[in-house]
Parts: sequence; structure tokens; C-alpha cells
Amino acid sequence: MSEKKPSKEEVDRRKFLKYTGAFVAGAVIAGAGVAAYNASQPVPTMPTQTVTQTVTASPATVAPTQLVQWSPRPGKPYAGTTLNVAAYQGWICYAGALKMIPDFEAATGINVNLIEIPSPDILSKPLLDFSQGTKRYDVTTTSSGFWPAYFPYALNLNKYATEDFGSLDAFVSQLEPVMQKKPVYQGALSAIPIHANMQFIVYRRDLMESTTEQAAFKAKYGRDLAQPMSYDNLVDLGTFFTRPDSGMKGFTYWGNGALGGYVYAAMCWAERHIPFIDENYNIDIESGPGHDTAVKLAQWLVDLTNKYHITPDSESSVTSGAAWELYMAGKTPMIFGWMGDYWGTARTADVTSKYGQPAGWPWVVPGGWISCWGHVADSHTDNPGAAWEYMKWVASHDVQGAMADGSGQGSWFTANMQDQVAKGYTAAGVADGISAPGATWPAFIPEWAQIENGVIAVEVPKLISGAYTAEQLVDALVAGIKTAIQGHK
Amino acid sequence: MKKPSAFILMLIPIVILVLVIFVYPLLDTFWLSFFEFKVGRGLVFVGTSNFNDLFSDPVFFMTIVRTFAYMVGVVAVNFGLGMGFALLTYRPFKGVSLLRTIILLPMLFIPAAAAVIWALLYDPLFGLINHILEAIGLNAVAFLGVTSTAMPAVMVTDIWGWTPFVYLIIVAGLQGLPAAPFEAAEIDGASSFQKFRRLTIPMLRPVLLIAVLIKAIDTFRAFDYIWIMTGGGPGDASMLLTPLAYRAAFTEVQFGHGSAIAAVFFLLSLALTVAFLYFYLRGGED
Repeated sequence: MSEKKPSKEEVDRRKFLKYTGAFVAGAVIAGAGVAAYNASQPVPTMPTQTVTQTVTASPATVAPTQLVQWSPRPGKPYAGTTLNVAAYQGWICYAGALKMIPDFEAATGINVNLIEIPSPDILSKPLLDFSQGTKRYDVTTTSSGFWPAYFPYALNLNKYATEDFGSLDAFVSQLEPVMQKKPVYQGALSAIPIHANMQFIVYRRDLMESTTEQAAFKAKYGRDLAQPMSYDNLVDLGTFFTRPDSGMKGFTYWGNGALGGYVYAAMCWAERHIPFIDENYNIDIESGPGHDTAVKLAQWLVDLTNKYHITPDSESSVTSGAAWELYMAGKTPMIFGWMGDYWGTARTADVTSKYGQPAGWPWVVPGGWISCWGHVADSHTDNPGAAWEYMKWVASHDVQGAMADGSGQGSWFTANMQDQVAKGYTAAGVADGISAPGATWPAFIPEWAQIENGVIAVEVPKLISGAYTAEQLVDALVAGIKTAIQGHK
Repeated sequence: MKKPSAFILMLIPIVILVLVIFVYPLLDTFWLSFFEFKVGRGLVFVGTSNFNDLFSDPVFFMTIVRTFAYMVGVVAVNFGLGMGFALLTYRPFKGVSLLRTIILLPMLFIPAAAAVIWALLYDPLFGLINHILEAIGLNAVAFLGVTSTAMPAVMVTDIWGWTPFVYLIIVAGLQGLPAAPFEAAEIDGASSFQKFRRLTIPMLRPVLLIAVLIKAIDTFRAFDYIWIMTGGGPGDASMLLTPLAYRAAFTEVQFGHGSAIAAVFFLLSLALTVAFLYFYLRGGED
């Protein structure tokens, strides 16, 4: 068979492919060269925080005792800036702020690029970027337990607080007393708190206040159907409302993954007021009363499912959303969790028309895990002023009110909190709860980041799923905490 | 001086690409496995401490066992179903195109989307599967929330998603087989099963081995289905090596520990690949 001579058209096509291939090869080599250069640059070391207060204070724009009002800076000095903000994906407590971002952008000219990250990655991923100086995020949203881990890489906000409020003290004094020292690291304001919450038992008021149910409960247990004041009280309530005919289980808590860890920790901390480890690195649950309490509560938690049968069989897969689905489907009349995740939804017509507005009881031992989230800005950011404007705006009266209206959360700024409580935005009990004696902060140590995400969130689900006994869980928690703090002392 | 051939010149970009996106990160991972990120202090050299912790952790060994079990289970069913569908549809008949399209439909879904859809199907309250179970008088099952069913439930999703891929490889192999040996066997009175066992399988062996290798390696590093559907839970009941490495590095903020897991995973994958290639090449010699 003779060889077919390539036509002119085919020759031209071949040349086109050759030149295109050469161009692409050149682009790849150039890209690889740039990547290799970047990879060869030394990893930035931890920045040293230099605390200076040499800025001459301008007259305070807001008197220290006023609400944290916000107004845009004249002249839009940050117009055209794009601010990358890492936000907690799907977090109902931030929804109020999200809705108002267009107003902020219009007022300041700052373009807010919101990067939503699911939990628990929202806590750890930006930390990696902050520590490596990637400048991926200008501002992140993180819980107070992670603040000590972020602080070495956080923007010092003293200059901005002084410019706008007269002094650092003037800004900080607007916070609840228990919060005033937390966001300040080596004299530098390093975080702005934007969220306060506590745990509650959310319950179906129509059942608990039903005269029929109350009479039946009293007949069975010899006492009034009321707020549970002991673990046995709660078991009785859960047993009473466990109704196999309707598939109802009397009590539900957030058992899935990390949430299960937080629930267990909240219960332990309400009793001990010590978050497993204190700030002197003493591990409370290693021995003595702390250990005994931790084992007792772990056993009680699994007994709810395995012995008393008052929680869903699949408790280990119950998320905050799943718990709410169970509630709305009539499968559970009580949920233990953070009130802020339900408050806004609980007051919608869909819910109130079905069962009436839910109510909340404190935990059987008042107190628990103080939930505090805040904004932290990256010290490497190219837009420090814009970052401050955004963080201050989220903490301001109107935005905090919008966040609370939809979620029941509280504000750490005293005047904001009082206003929100007066308007009924903040869930009943949050304001008192965060200041109660039993309300416990995570240990303010850098290693808490690994303890929370790597120990509590990983080990406690194994208890709830049946892989651990109560003793094994506490032993695993102690071992994990020791590994996390290794080398500290 | 002899000019480098065009072949070598065209290879250079891909070699550079492989070096940058594969070799460099791999070496970096191995390097990082000898360090640990101490929050507040940065990277600290810890020697072999990460590996010591791994090899003294029964959870890690269980995860390796579970990963192998996952791989074997998924690949075996993939091949069983893929072969069955391929035998059914490799010859033309009326409606074969429609049947092939239905078989291939799962390939349209990216794994993350498929994982979300199947998680909803498995939902104990509102999922379709439990709805059907209750309709036929059975109790609802929290497939993803119970330790005994979480991993099998994810395996079903993985099988559903990747059987079409295996099917495509096998059906292409079947269609490429020569007709003459089968005609000769027919004349000699061989049964269908004898033809399948003595002709089809040996002639398809190279194709099957390559497909097994690709699918096994891909399943061994399963991440998306597990992470989205169960997060490795409940407890660690469905945890595999890749999600474990991810969790250690990005959730627990233990980058060195996560890198050590990734390093061990790489070595296991390499051993698996070498073993498969040995069988493949040995088959070629035979």
C-alpha cells in the first residue's frame, strides 16, 4: 500500500499542534519555575509581637460607656480593598451579619470576600495559614479556645482601638468583666468577641405544660413535672416521654463527632468548673474527684442510650440539625445543646404553629462550656485598617442585634447584651449563664487547639458509639491531653 | 553534537510537572513526618516519635486492616457486578444502548455529590431507604450512625459510583476478543461456562489485572465518600487511612503526625502496586 502524501492542510495542522505544544510546554516550565522559587523561600518564623502605644490618642469618637456604635470612616479610606474573611459555614449565629454585609460594602467601599469553611476545619485551617504567612485570610472567625493558638500570629489592634475609642482600656471596658482580659495578648488587643452562648435543654412547652401530662407524671413519680434538678430527674423525664408507639425518645443530645465531645465536656465542666486541664497544665481528670466525675458522667451518658433507652439508638449520628428534625417530627421533646442553634428557628411560624414556641431549662447542674467566638486578623494582612473596620462593624450594636435576633446568641459588649435581652433577641438565660459560677472557659493555653479538636472531638465519639467504656474514655482523654502538652513543661 | 530528540524534549514538561506536583510534595511529607507542629512554638523536630506513636497505636493498625477490608470488599463487588453487566451487554441486542446508559449513569455524579445524595437516602427519619423498609414492615435503621452498618453503607455508595468504570473496561476488553477461538470451542462442544472459564478469562486477564490495579489503588485511598458520609465515625468505625491522615493534619492540627500517616500510606500503596505489577508481568510471561 503506497504511503499517502500529507496534504498542505494536514501539514499546517501539524505545525499548529507543534507550536501550540511548544507554547504550553513553555508555560508549564515557567509556572514550575515560579512554584519552585516560592517553595524555596524560607518558611516565615513566628512574628514577635511588639507592643507599642505611641499613637497619640485622638478624641474618642464614642464615649466608653456607649454602645459600640459603628459609622463608616469619612472619605472611604479603604475603598477598593478586598477583604478575605474566613467564616463558619452554615452557622446560624452569623446569618444576621451576612445579610448586612452589602450595607457594609456600600458604606466603606470594602469588598468582603467571604470564604465559608465547615466546622471543625474553620478552627484549624486558618491557623495553618496564619502561622505560615500565606495571607489567604485577612480575618478569621474562631472560638475563644483557639485564641491562644492564633495570638502569636494575630494583628495588634491597639492602634485602631486607640484611634477610635481613645485608649485600649476604653474599648476593653465595654466588654463583660469576665471577657475583658481574654482578647488581650501581651498587652495587645488581638481578638474581638462577637458571640456568646451557653447550653440548654430545649423542650416542648406544649408537652411539659400540658395538664394531662403533668397529672400523669405526678401520679407516676410523686412530684411535679418541672425543670430537672438532678441526673435522676432528667432520666425520669426522659423515661416518661419515651413513647414506643409514636417512636418518641424522651431526650436527645448532640452525639455526632465533635459535637458529642463538646456536650460531654460541657456536662463535666458544669460539675467541676475545670475544663479537664487548667492554665497551669494540671490535668483535672487524671485522678481524684475530677477523674471520678469524668467517669461517672461518661457512664451516665452511655446509660441514657444503653440502659435507660431514652435517647435515639443512633445517638452517635445526631447533629444539631438532626436533633431539630427529631424535635419537629415529634420524635423527641427535649434536646440538650447550644440554644443559639435553635432560638431563631424556634420562633418561626412553622415551629410555633406546630408545638408552640419551645422553652429552655439550664442543665441539671447549672453552668457548662462558655461558647465564645470572635474575629482575629492575620498579622501578615496587607489590609489591617480594613480588617479592623470589618471586625468593629460585626461587634457593633446593629449587627450584634441582627445576629442575636436570628439565633438567640448574646453579645460580649455589655450595652449590646442589655439591649438584646430587653428586646428579647438573646435567649433567656444566656446573659446570666455566661456569668454563672459554673460557666467554664476552655483552658487559655495554646495547646487547647489540639486538645479540643484532636482529643475531645476524637475520643468522646468513641464512647458514644460504644467503642470505649467510660474508664477507657477518660484514660484516652488523659493520654491525649498529655501528648498535646508534651514538651511544655 | 547530536541534538536531543523531539521525544525527549516533549517529555521534559511532564517530567517537571511530576517533579513539582508529586515528587516535591512527597519528599516534603516525609520530611515533615519527623517534625511536629507545636501550637504557639511552630515546627519542632521530634525524630521518629510520630512513627513510634503510630506503630504503638492499635487504632492505627485497625485503620490499616479496615482500609484493606474496604478495598477488597469494594473491588470484589465492583468486578462481580462489572463483569455481570459486561457479559449482559457486550453483544448487541434491542435495547442494549438504553441498558448501557442506565449502567453508566452513576458516572455522571462526582463522588462528593454522590456522597451527599446517599447520605440523604440513608437518613433514619426522612431517607428513601428507611421509608421503604418501614413500608414493608421493618424498622428504620440509622445506617450511617451505627458502628456495624456505617462502613458497609459507604461501601455500597462507592460500589454504586465506580462499577460503571469497571464495566466500561471489561466490556471494551470483551468486544476486543477474537471470535475464532470461541467458534472453535463451539465446534468442539464447549459449554458457555467452559468457554468463559477457559477462553474469556485468560484472554481478558491483562485487561482485568490493569483494571484491578487502578481500582484497588483508587479505593485504597478512598476519602470523599467516607469524609462526607460519616467523617470516619461513628467513633472510628468507618475510618480509613486517608481520612485519618487528613483529620490528624487539618482537624487535630498535628501536621507531623498526619504526614507520618501519609508516609506509611504511600509505602503501603507502593507495595500494593508492586505486588499487582508482579502478577501482571508474570501473567505476561505465562
